[in-house]
This record gives sequence, C-alpha cells and structure tokens, in this order.
Amino acid sequence: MSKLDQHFKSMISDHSGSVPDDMWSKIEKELYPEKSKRPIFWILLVAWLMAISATLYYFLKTDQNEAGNQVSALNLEAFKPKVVAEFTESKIQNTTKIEENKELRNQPALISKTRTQVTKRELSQVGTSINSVSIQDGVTNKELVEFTTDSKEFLKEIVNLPMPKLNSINSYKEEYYLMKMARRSNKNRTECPSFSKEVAGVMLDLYYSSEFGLRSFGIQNGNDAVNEYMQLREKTESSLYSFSAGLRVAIMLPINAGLKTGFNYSQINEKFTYEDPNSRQVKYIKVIKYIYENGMVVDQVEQYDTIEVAGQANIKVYNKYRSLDIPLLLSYEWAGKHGFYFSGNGGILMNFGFNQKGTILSDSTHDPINISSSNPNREEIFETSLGVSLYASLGMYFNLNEHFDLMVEPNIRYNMNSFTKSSYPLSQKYVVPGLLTGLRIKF
Amino acid sequence: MSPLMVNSSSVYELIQECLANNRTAQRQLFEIYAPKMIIVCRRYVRLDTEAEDVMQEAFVKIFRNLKSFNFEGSFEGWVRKIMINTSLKYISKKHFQNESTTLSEVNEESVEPEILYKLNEEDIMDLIRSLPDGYRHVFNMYIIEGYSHKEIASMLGIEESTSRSQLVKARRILQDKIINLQKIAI
Repeated sequence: MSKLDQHFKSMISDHSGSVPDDMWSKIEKELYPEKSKRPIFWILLVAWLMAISATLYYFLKTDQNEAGNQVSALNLEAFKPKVVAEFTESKIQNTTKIEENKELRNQPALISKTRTQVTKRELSQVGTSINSVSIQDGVTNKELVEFTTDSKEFLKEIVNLPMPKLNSINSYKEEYYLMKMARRSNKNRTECPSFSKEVAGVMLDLYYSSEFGLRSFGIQNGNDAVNEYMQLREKTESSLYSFSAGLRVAIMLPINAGLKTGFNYSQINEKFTYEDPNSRQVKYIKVIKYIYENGMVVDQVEQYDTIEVAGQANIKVYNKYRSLDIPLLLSYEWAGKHGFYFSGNGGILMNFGFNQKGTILSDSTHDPINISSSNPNREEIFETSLGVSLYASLGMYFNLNEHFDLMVEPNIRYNMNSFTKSSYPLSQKYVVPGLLTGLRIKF
Repeated sequence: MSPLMVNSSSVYELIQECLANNRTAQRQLFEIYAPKMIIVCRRYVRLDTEAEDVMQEAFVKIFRNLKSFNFEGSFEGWVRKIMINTSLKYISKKHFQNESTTLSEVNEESVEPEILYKLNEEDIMDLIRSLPDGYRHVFNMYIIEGYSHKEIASMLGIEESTSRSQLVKARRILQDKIINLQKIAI
C-alpha cells in the first residue's frame, strides 16, 4: 500500500459525519409499523351504534305498547290488598253508583266528577273482582303497583289536574296520562317521593366539568437510564386547572337504568418552566449610515447585523393536552326527596381525536423542544389517539321544573393508555378527578 | 457516542437488549454507529440523500437480522459490511452507466507529501466521491475496507483483473486531482 493509500485510509476509516435528526424515527417506523387503530375504532363505533339502536328500539317499543290498546295482564300479587281494601272501603259505594249510571258518563254535567271517577272505577274493579281484572292500556305492572300502593297520594294529585277530554273517561289510556301528569307535576311532590322523578325518558345533559389532571410517568422498555430524564420532566412540568365540557343524551329505561352517550371535549393544562443558564439570545441590529455632502444628508445605507447575548433564559410555557371522546356510560338513577334525585354512572370514553401543544424536555438532549401538533418538525412523541378511558361518577340532580333539572356530578376519569408512543422512553398517563355541573333538559 | 468509547462487552449487552426488542437500546446502538456509517455510505453512494436512504435501509436490516450476529467478531465490522452490501445493491439497482475518464500518465512520486497532509477529511471525501463509480467502489473496498481483489470481484460481480485495473486507475485519478490542487495552491 502506497503512502497515498495509507494516508487516505487513516484519514477516512474512522471519519464521522452528521446524521439527520429524523433518521431514527424513520427506522423505527419501518421496524415497528404502527398498527392501524382504525379497525378497533370502527368496531367500537359500530358496537356503540348498535347499543344505541337497541336501546332506542327497546325504549320506543315500550312507549308504543303504552300508547296502544293492547290488553296486558296485571300481576295481581303485586297489589297490596291492605291498601286496596282500605281505599275501596270508603269509596266503593260511589263507584257502584257510577257503574250503575253508565249512560251519564259522557255527559258534560259530570266533568267535575271525572277525575275521581276514573280512579274510583279502577279501584272498584280491583276491590270487587280482583281475580278477573285486567288493564286496557299499556301501564306497566310496576307502575300499577306504585299506583295502587300510593293510591291515596296519587288521588290527591290527580284531582287537581285538568282533564283533557270528557269522552275519554272510559279509557285507561287517559288514566295513564293523568298518572304521568301527576308525576310531572310539582304539586305535592314532596308528599309523594316515588313520583318525584320521571323514571324513563330521553334527556339531554349539557355540562362543564372543572378538573385537575394527576399525571404519572412510567419507564417504558424497562430502561432505568431514563430515571434522570423522568425526574427532569417531573421537575419542569406541573399540573394546572383543567376542564371538560360536552353534551350527552341520557336514554333511561323504565327500570331506572339507561345509557348515556354524546361528545366530550377535555383539556388537561400544565405549566412547563425551565431555566437555561447558558442561553444565547440573538439580537438583530439595523445600522443606518448617512452620507453627508456640504452638511446635508444626500444618501443613506442600511446594514443589518446580528449579535448574540449570553445570559439565563427563563422559559414558561402552558402545555395543553386536548382530547375529543364519545362517552358510553351505563347509568342507574333513583329518586330522592324534595325534588332531588341521584345517579350512578360508569363506563368508557372512546377517544377519536387527540393533540397537544407546548414544550417539554427532549429525551435525548434534555433541552426544551416544541411538541405542538401543529409543528411539522416536532419529534414523534405523542399518540394521535388515546384509545379507551374509564369513567365513573355519582350525580345529584335537582328538579327545577317540568323541562329542566340542575345537575352536579363528582367524577373521575382514568386514561388507560399512555399519551406517549411506545417508542418514547416514558409513559405518560393521567387520573383526572373533576366536578361536573350542568343542566338536564327533559323531553 | 463514538464506537471507540464503548467497549465490546457493553456493545454486546446493548445487542442483547436489542434482541429483546428494547427500543431504547436499539436507538443507543444506532446513535453509536450511525455517524461513522453515514460516511461509509457516502463513500459509495454519490448523493447525500441517497446515502441516507441506504443507511436507513441498512440499519433496518441490521436490527431485523441481529440474531444472526454470532457475538464473536467485531460488531462494527459486521455493521460496516451490511452498509457496504446495501450500498452496492442500491448502486446496482440504479444501473449506473460506465463513466469514461481521461487518465494522464502521472507518477505517484510527483505528489508532494506536504500537500497530501494538508488535505483534511472532507477534502479526501470529496476526492474519493469524485471518482467514477466503478473505480470508487474498488478503491473504497480495497484501500479503506481492506477487502482482497478476490472478495471485491465476488461482491461486485467482476473479474479480479478488472478490480486490479480499476484500482490502478482510481489511484491515478486521485493523484491527478491532488497535483491539480497542488498547482492551484502554488
């Protein structure tokens, strides 16, 4: 080998060059192609739609049955003979008279008596021929049980309600209408707790939840070397007031249970603070030189320059982690007293959009880097979808009027999946407690 | 971190971690060898962007076939060989046309040692990359990597004699270029 060969070899063989910053992420993408989350998302979406459809179908079917004229058998064992007997004892005579004067039923003169007559007739049937009674309309057994057991209170309410039509006296459909009206009425509500809330129905909840994101880091890939980095991130990032807002439709079945779903927007806020003692600030300088001739400015030349100023930079950035979710919650609601009622809710939030904005420390250089989704040069650290989160809450509602209720709901959300990609050394998960307040619109 | 700064045992530990699909270890291994290997690729492939593509492809091969490394020889040598093979494969796919060049009769001794030692790494890289493809490959493989003409002939699919003659021509071109630099300097 000649001198030239030896010189070339010695100079070149251990020579190093710069590598593009994004090369590792490209290699990683080839080694670990991201499995498309779309199919899972679509499966969840289809399951969600099917659940909604099934619930709606069940609910509407129940409603149709109630409105129809089908004869449904009454579970006679559900009636409490004591209550029935107690009531019928005092009223049976009047009822008998009405039964005897059927021809008068449709006459206007009887309008004032109608409200009591309707109920009396039914009670008389229960009391006098209990073995053969059947109800003409679709009132459910449970409601009839309530009707019968609380018959005194019910009558107190029902006598004060307007009667829609005289010619419907004969129909149990109108009786059911009266019963529903009584339930919705504010009158005597405190006297009749079991009727203080509409058990079944479709409602819309509009809400805002004040929250606080409790973050937890974990080491992914089992490498202890990132402990120092994790501590740096914990030191430089702190949690701030966060919030969620959204709307959800509550479809409650007559069994007091139902489904709640809709859209939820969440934003977890954090503050990034960093002191860089070796910061160098670049300042741009514009120098204007004037050319004088006989004491007059005849021309000017502009020059631009930059200077670097060394010093400590205090960086403060407000980070935001935003997500859009579809809640899918099972709910159980029960009546309380004085216009209050309660609910227990649990289920999942299906994420279909996630982005982030702000600054964190780089895992490789430990320098601040911009993580914003809008930054095309950002490092691939964060996921674009968070998958499924768990959600649980206890709600308290106060009945304002026939159409609106106020709601307060302490809640907790847990992000099961890390916000960061698996290629990033740290996992970043959140538990988010919150207090939801809102308005319930009843249809 | 330069490969010189890590001993073979710690590299082997990293490799074991990589075999367990530890991505952090894979990244560390990449960061150790990438700066050196990008130069290897640049010596074979003319354009920087192409060299980067080749290195990316080679590293994917390395991580996918890491289990075939037998932990006996130099890991850097193994990595380097994959880089060279991937570069050559890339070049053969591109069907480079034979480039012709005019060679002047230059005596090696006419190159002044002073000018030779004034050349830095970048200058030498530029000189090597200015060689026609065939000459460049043989020069790189014989002089820098240390392959024999037989191995070069096998890897490039040429005759041994062709490899020898291309090396001679590559040397002459380089000497010619260095002399020209010398003249400019004077």
